[in-house]
Amino acid sequence: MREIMTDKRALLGPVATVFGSEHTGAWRVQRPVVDSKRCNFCGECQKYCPVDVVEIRDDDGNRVLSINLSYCKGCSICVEICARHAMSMVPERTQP
Amino acid sequence: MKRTMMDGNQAAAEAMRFARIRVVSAYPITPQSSIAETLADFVADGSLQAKYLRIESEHSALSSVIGAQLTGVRAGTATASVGLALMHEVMGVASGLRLPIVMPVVNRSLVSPWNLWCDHQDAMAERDSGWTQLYAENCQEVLDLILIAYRWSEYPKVLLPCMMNLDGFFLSHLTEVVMLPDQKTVDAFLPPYVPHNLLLDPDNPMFINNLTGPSEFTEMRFQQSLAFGEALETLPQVLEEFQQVFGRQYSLLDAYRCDDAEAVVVTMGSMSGTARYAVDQLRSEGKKVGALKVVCFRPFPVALLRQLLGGIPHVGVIDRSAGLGAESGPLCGEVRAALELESPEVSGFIAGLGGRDVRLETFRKAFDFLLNSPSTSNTTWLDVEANAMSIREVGV
Repeated sequence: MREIMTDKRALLGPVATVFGSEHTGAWRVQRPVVDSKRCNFCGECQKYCPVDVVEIRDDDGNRVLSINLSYCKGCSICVEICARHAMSMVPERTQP
Repeated sequence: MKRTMMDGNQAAAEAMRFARIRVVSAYPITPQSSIAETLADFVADGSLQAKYLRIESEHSALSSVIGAQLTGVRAGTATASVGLALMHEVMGVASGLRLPIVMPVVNRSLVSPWNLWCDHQDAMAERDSGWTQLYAENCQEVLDLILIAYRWSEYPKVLLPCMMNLDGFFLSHLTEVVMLPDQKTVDAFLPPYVPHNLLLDPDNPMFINNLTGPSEFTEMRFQQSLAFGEALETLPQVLEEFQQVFGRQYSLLDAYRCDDAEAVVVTMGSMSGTARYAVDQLRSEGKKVGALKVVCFRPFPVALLRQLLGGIPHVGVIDRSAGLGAESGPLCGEVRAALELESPEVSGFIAGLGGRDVRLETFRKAFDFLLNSPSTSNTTWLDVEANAMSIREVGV
């Protein structure tokens, strides 16, 4: 069956065969920032993040929490969930 | 070839079995129910190898048939009247996705008044839905036109769904002789289904029926419009192939004694036989009359119609639906637009609504109007009691 559809550009009707991802971070009006002195890298925000953009990694023996801002929509669930109040939201388009 | 007795609904179910549909999803509605029931019998006795879905509505029936057909098999359903109306939203999905689904529609009036009997308003309400529409005159045509519809709709250039219309009760429940072909002959005419377009295949993913913005929507409608042009080109060829295999001849428009006629009546569906009978009667009385049966309503064969009726002085069109608020019934509107630049004067008639018989006398009235009335009429209601109170069973 597959050989009949070698030219996907010739398909008729509403169809997508190339699956890209939109940079949903462009929708954001505020973004989360981490206070690295307060954060103990417990990972709660990572578990709750609906788009899975929180990453905790080892950087030469130092643990680092980073957020992929290309896809973070700024929902602030991480801020709400953080027991140590280590995260806060700052408006976009202001210099840090 | 086997000579058998069966009604139109049985003939429709037989045709779908011959086409080897692999999924059946249907909801019962008068007068269609016996198609769904017969297909269920076929699945139960093993003569049709198909998955039978007992579904909760016509909306779901057509939706699931679309999903099934997208997996690369023929999938079947059938409906009537308000069932077709409930499918309305999904009708456009089938045509927009260019799925060659063939669906028998057993024509019945729309509400209200609540009525179970033959009327073309259900099909006419779907005439812009992107489906082709064929109309059968007898039970043999029901079987043949469904086989033709599969072959036609599945042409890679066409890929349009087809409504095969049969008149409620007049055909669906009329038992008459039907020549049943054998499966081998049908298989030669109708090879196994090959999906030429959209397909649900986990190894080759597609996101089907996605949101389409103003930048592409017009082009998609335009592609469908081109397909109707291709359908019009392709159908005569399919009818020719059908004749070679099965020996029965069909045409998009069937003209009867029209050549030297002064007046021709245009009909669709089961009333067409009576129209030809009326023509014979009037011819024997020395009146030059003819009849034209529309088999293919969508696409509407405008050029052929001009060729057949272009020189006829008086043309009358009998609509089996009221066309409320329009200048004329829907079929008459099409015929008049097609013949606008030709010589005929086109008059419209409404008859046969809600199962009322269209009899010899009805055609006599129509021909009498065409031959003797000094003017044309957009809409003349035949066999109507102008004062409805006169037919009330309970006196005031």
